Amino acid sequence: MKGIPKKISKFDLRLFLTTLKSSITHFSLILTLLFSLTAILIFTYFITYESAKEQILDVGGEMFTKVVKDVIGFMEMMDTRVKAGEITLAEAQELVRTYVNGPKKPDGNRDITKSKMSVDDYMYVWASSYKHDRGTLTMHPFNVEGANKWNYQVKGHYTIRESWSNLNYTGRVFRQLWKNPGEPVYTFIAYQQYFEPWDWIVGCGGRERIIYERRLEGLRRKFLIVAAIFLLISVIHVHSFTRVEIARRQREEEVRDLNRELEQRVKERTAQLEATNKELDAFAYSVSHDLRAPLRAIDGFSSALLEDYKDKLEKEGKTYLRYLQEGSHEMSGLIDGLLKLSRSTRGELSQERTDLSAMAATVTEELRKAEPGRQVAIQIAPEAEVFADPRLLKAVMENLLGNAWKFTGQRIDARIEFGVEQQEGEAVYFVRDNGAGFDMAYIDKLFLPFHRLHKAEEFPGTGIGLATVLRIIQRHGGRIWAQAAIGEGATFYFTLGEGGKHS
Amino acid sequence: MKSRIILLVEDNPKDEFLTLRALNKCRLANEIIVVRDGVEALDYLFAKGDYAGRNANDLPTVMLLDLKLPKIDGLEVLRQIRADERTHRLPVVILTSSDEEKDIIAGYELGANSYVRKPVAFDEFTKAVAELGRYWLITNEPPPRK
Repeated sequence: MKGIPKKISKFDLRLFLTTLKSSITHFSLILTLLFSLTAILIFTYFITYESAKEQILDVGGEMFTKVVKDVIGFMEMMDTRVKAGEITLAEAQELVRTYVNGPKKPDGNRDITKSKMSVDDYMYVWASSYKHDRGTLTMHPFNVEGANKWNYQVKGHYTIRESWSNLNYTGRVFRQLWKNPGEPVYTFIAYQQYFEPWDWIVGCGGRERIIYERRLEGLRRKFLIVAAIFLLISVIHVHSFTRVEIARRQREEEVRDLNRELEQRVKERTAQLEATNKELDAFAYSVSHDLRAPLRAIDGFSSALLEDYKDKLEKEGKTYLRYLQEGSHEMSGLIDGLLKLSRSTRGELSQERTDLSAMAATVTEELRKAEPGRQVAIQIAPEAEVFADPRLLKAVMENLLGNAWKFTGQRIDARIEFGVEQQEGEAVYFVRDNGAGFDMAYIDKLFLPFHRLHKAEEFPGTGIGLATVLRIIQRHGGRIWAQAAIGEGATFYFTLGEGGKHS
Repeated sequence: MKSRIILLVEDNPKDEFLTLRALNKCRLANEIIVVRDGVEALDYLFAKGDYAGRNANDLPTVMLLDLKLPKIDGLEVLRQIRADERTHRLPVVILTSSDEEKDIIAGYELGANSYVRKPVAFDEFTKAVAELGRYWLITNEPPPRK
């Protein structure tokens, strides 16, 4: 058998899409759903977070506004007092400073831990002060060390509520910077080192706001990680599933290819067999004609010789001629047997309801008519119906019953029986006689063509009959076997495969 | 008196001899015409070729036709005979060695009147030929001449 043909697999978009679709309808549906759910959750989260942010900002803003209002209120109060002449401007400024920054320490620095505001609050106030330049009450930047260098940041601060730029500043940054007073301000870009990738700067705010962010930060981070894992698993699963599908489809295609190849081979073989059968037909045909004609000549002219020249021939001569005739008769019988044998394998097997009992009756009747002198007891089981080719079965019955008839020729109480037995759920047909039987030692040769187990003088025959019977039985899918004892008769059993069901 | 003519189409000279011997023994036929192949048979029947001078209306009483013939085989001869109005009703007995079913079917399909297998045994052969002769020349009514 030739090697299995291999197909080079190439990426088939259609195949990929269909398997993708089918993968969704399969086990990975659950994963896909989970992933989609996660995606929805993330989306929802972001939306809610965004609005939460707004809320936070509002809350933060409110806080700021409160603080700012508070401070500005105080400042306005001071302003009024200055205007009223109760205190000087310097005194007023000092008071505001103390109010906001906390009292001055003995060393001249302020103790900012006691400050009412954080640095970012300062910034906010500062920004507000820029906006709310009242003219008379000019708000100067508070005297926070290094603060005047943050001008542009302050501007940025003011716009932070509009654009969530996370690069400008964060309360935390300033607090940290504030930890090291007197140190130069870090540039814009340097601020980034304080940020972590998932830190979102909402804006300046108090400690609480940062905590909010943190909490939400953590949650969002977790969601992102889980979603990423789901996505990864989903993709891997879909990918492997697709590959399995592709492999399966490939195998199916290979099987289809193999089937097509097999069909092709079967066609070729059938054509070959048909050709062989045709040759056999032609051969049998020529045997029919060409072998018989010379035989006829041998026999014919021997007889003609006998008739026309009988007075010119001695007894021996006549005997020789008789032997010539017998020889040609024998050969004719052989030719007939051979043709029958070859016919039993050629031709269509037509399966019909066949009554074996009726057939046995007809055959035995013919046998009786041929030798009316003989007394033979014949027993035929009734209604043995089978599904088989009647023509070929007739040959079988003629042969088996004919043999039984022939081999009981020397018995006065000859008995022949045709019947059916049930063996292991199968219908077994048999032809039994009480004739000469045969030696079971030669059972192997029984069904071979041209092998005979008896001398020709005792029981004439060509030795082809049983070979033909065997072929016919085999063509029907059945089996045939025999049991015998010398001098006690023989029984030939046969089955007919599917057709042999006892009705 | 009816003239009883047998047309024997047989290529094998031995078979021809034996057939003639058997027929002559019965002394039934007035005339036995022997042709050796299919072409000769058709020439004879349609008064063509070598038999151009013959009276075509004078058909034999029966034709004994072998199947295995040189040039045109027996079945083809039969087909052509049956196709022609003149010989359409001519009694044809196929006398051949073959007992192959398909030959028998083909013979009857093409309109042979009878199919007889040539037995090998001479006495049976003689008997068969005698029976044939007796039946087709005496017992059977041939189609009327035109």
